[in-house]
Amino acid sequence: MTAEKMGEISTRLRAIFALASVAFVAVLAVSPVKDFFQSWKRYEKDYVSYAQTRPDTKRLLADFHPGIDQIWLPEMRVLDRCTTCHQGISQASLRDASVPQPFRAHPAIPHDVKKWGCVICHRGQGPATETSEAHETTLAWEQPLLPIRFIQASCGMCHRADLPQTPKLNRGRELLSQLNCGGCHHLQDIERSAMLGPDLSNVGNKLMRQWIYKWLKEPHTVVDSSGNTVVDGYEMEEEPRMPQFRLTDQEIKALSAYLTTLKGQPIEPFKFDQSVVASLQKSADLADQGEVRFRQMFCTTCHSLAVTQGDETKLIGGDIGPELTKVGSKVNPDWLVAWLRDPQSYLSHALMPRYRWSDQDLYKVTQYINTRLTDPDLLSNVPPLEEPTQEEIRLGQRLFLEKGCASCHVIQGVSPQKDFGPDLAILGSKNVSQLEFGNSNIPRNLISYIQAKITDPLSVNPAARMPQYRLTPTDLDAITTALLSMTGSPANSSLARLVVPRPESAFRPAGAFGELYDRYKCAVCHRFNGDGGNLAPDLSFEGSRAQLQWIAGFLKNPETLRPTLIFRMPQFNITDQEASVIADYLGMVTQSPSVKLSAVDQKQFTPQMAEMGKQLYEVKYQCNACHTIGSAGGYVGPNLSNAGNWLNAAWIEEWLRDPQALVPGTIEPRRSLTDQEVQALTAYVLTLKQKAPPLTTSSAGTKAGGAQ
Amino acid sequence: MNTMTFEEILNRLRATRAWRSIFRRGPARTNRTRSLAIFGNVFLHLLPVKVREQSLRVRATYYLGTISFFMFVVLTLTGILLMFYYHPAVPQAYLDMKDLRFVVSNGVFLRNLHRVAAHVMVIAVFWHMFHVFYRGGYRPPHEFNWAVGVMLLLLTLLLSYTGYLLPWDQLAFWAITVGTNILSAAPFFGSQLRYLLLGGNLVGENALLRFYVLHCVILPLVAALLIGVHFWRIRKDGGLTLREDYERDKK
Amino acid sequence: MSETKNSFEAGVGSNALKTPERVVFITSKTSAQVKERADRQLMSYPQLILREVIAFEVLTIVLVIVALAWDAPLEQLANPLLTPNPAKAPWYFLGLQELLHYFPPLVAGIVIPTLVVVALVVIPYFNVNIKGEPLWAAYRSRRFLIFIVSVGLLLVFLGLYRAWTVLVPTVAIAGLTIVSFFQLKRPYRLISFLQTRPLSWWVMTWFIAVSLTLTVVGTFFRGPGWSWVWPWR
Repeated sequence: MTAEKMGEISTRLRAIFALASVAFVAVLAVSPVKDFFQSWKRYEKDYVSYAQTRPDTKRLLADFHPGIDQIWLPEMRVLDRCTTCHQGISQASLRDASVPQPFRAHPAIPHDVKKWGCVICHRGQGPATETSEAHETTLAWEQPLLPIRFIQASCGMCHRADLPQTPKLNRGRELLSQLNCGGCHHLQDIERSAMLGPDLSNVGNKLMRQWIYKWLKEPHTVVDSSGNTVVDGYEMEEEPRMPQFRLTDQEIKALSAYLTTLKGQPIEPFKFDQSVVASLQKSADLADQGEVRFRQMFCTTCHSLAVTQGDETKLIGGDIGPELTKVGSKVNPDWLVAWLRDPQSYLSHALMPRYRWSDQDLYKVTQYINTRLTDPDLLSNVPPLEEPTQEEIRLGQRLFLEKGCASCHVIQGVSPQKDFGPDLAILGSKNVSQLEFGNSNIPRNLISYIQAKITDPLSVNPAARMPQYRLTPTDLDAITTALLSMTGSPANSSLARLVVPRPESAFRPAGAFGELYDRYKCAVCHRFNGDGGNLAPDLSFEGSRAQLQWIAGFLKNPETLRPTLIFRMPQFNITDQEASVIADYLGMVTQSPSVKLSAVDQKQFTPQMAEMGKQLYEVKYQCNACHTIGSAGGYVGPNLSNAGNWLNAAWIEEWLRDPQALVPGTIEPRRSLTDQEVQALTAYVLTLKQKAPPLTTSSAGTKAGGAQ
Repeated sequence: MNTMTFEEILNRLRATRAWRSIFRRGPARTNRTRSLAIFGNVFLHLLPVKVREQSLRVRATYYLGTISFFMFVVLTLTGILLMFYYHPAVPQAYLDMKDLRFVVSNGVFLRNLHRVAAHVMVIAVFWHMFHVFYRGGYRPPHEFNWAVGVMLLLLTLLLSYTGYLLPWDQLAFWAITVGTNILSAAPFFGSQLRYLLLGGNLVGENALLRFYVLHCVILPLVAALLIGVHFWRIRKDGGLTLREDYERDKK
Repeated sequence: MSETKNSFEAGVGSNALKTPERVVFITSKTSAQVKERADRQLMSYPQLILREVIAFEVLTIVLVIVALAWDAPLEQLANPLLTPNPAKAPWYFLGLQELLHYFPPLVAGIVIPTLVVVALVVIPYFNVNIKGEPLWAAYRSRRFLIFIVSVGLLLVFLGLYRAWTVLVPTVAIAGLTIVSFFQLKRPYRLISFLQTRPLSWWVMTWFIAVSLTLTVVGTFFRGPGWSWVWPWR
């Protein structure tokens, strides 16, 4: 070959070079072209043409700025580009449902959308400018858009205190507390409730083994066709808190055997006064007398009984204490007597007040419970249970720990395992990759995981110890919302400042009153400074309202102020000394700042004023439409027959001027009364001093003071 | 016709004073000017003037060394562009990844290209080494260049590994944590070595900065230097060793 | 070629005047040696340059297509409190990570990689078997014995550590080596190829087989807690 040929390029190589060069340039142009057709640019173009079809085109376009729109909140570590596509988010005129997405405006909420951005509440990937990246779970973002039915969870991330606008979240938190989820799991802001399952240290004294067997097998016996929980044949408004554990027959036998051996402090049978027993045993209607006392003492304020009318069986009574229809088949009679005399000695946190019983009453009531409140069919399908064997007891003891029973039930000497269940305080911010789905075929996301874990724990983890809860779909969503709201403490102090903490229980009295407050469980029914029950009147300002002597008298003998109510204050048989302690405390502490007791002198009211007040009461304002005096009047407001002994003059005056200022939400109408009229009406009310017929324990059964 | 005019334009361009001041040789139509084109160019003079026809066949080398070098070039170019959008800080580094993905024009393409090229370079360098070994390219007089090649393999791995941390995502963090934990198993001063590399006991902002400097400055410079030596030594050691040479030598 | 090649004093017999193509270096002190062959030469410019440009273009086209079709992975923000299971190193270190599963960190993480690098650098300087003589060319029975004993010891060692993913490729390559030992009447092409391979070839092939197996296993077959998983499950 010639020397020059060494440098000559063949035609084939030239062709390859030409082809490769063309392809090279072409391929490099793909990415810029792709960039030009990005989806957010298309949305912006669509928005502009949509704005032109609206009546307020000019304003919409004035607010429109092409390019990527972002909300940057460095303190919260939020970078939010949602508004690049969701252009109309804060345009009030686009709030209508007919506006196509993604241009529709946000519904009105207390927060400024433009100031807070979207992802703080709705989750999703803020920096993304592509639909699927922004809304869905990706490798780079495991917090997808929160379905709108759980959106209240986001409120709960900062608003740890319940808000009126978030009923679902509040219900979920309530459920978490009620179901005692905190027994096994650590939960943000949900305090471990004092109302755990019963203390079982001495349960062998209380229960029969057959009943334990039945209960462990079917804590909620059945669910009827309409989805209501049916316990022992009648509907309950609420589920029993004990969930269904997965136990074999052998395990149930072992557990029931173990529990019957728990008799830490054997009870000594109470020795009734023999003369009382002897005299009462003769009477044929002993149980009937017991029933009358049972009703007179308003046991049904807290406890319910099943009543059958026609085909319908209903529970009548309160739901603070357990339902008692078949309690006679459940408990040991000696235990029942001991319990009624002193509930707290058996269960220190029992809600039941400690009554002062006379021997007669105690005997009658226990006889009534043991003979009438029974059901021979209840335990019919329980197999015959032999004496517990050592082996059964040992197995039962082991199961008690393994199944997590100790997380809700106390047994002295048995300490529950620490952190029995997983910590759920940051469940709401968990990534999908941190969750175990097992072999289940549910969608791989946090929400379906939570719901599967509650309703069917085995589906996601065959080795789960968690019991199965039966919740209505609404409650399930509520509890899911509450769990989703638990995203842990804020990452930094500037975020922490945004958190609205949950209020602590404000009313924790000390001293002699504190003891009585605890003993008689006042807060179960009454509210004090926003804390306590809703069943009975709020007593935050009781000292301003009522006269001390009246309070003391009422405590000893609760008359009926509002005759239409079924639930009334039980008769605690309080001593004189206790009554005066309570009255003094209420008089001293529970004062309203707007009622000045010392400013009104009783002596200033003259009979003439009272006469004028009577006229106003009866004629001008027709107060008797709602209030009763003596035997005449309405039943909407309280009975005023004894108001002169009951109410403070200053309270009456203030009340007449502005009732809602003292008790928000009261139905007492606010009338614009003149000062003279106020004084006249007060003077009149103070003259009303009719004693109601007293009810004492000794007057048993003769007068029907029955509630219903 | 068109080629003629194209050639005419080219010729006219070559005749200009500016052109001639840059390329002093005439058009490469003779072997002399072709040789001048190689050794008259600061970059090309590392290459030999003449090459054996056999060594240009695809099957002889699969161009693996060339591919490795071009990957280095692509990585340098894309890497420099990526540096415009990157801050070696926590968590800004990660947010920069998001910006590249969602805001920067062609940002995602740039990052993908860098990542793909990095993987291809590691594969190409390994393959190159094995291929050279099988055709006996490590034997004298190539032993020093072989050692340089082994160093370049290590540098490639280090470059890829230091770049792995920069996105500051879970993948990066844990890969580096796992990798540097191995270091602390070294005898005598293992944990000190790890501390030196990370600038702390954990993979944190200091580690990110160190890896950034290593990835963008130190390692590329050393690699570029060694690549120069490697090329130059190919020429000085008498060109590529082909399989045919090896098989022939065996007889 | 000459017998004295090993000492770098090659080709003395050739007459430089008669065969001007052949250039011979005599002295052993020079750093390099050029052996001229009688094959065709091409000018680097433009023959080599153009081919390299084409290679660059083709390569870039492939890269760009891959970069358009496949997105570089990006996971969530680094979180030291959230350990993924398993935490994996980059793919090219997964072979080492797989070794770490079997051997103590000092051995798997430091000693073995250091030895490999040192061996790669140092071996060319020993001039062992520079001719590439086949493994079974001479001292057949003695070499076979040494081979069987050393491979046997290695396998026992690997078995003791239960390093199955190292053991399996080792057995495969050792098996091929043993097969190439036997001289068949009409060997297959593969076997006759293997029979001509020197020891260095076998060692390198074993190294590649083991590292490839380890890397593939580490990348695709290892799940939570470094347990064995099937990638298609």
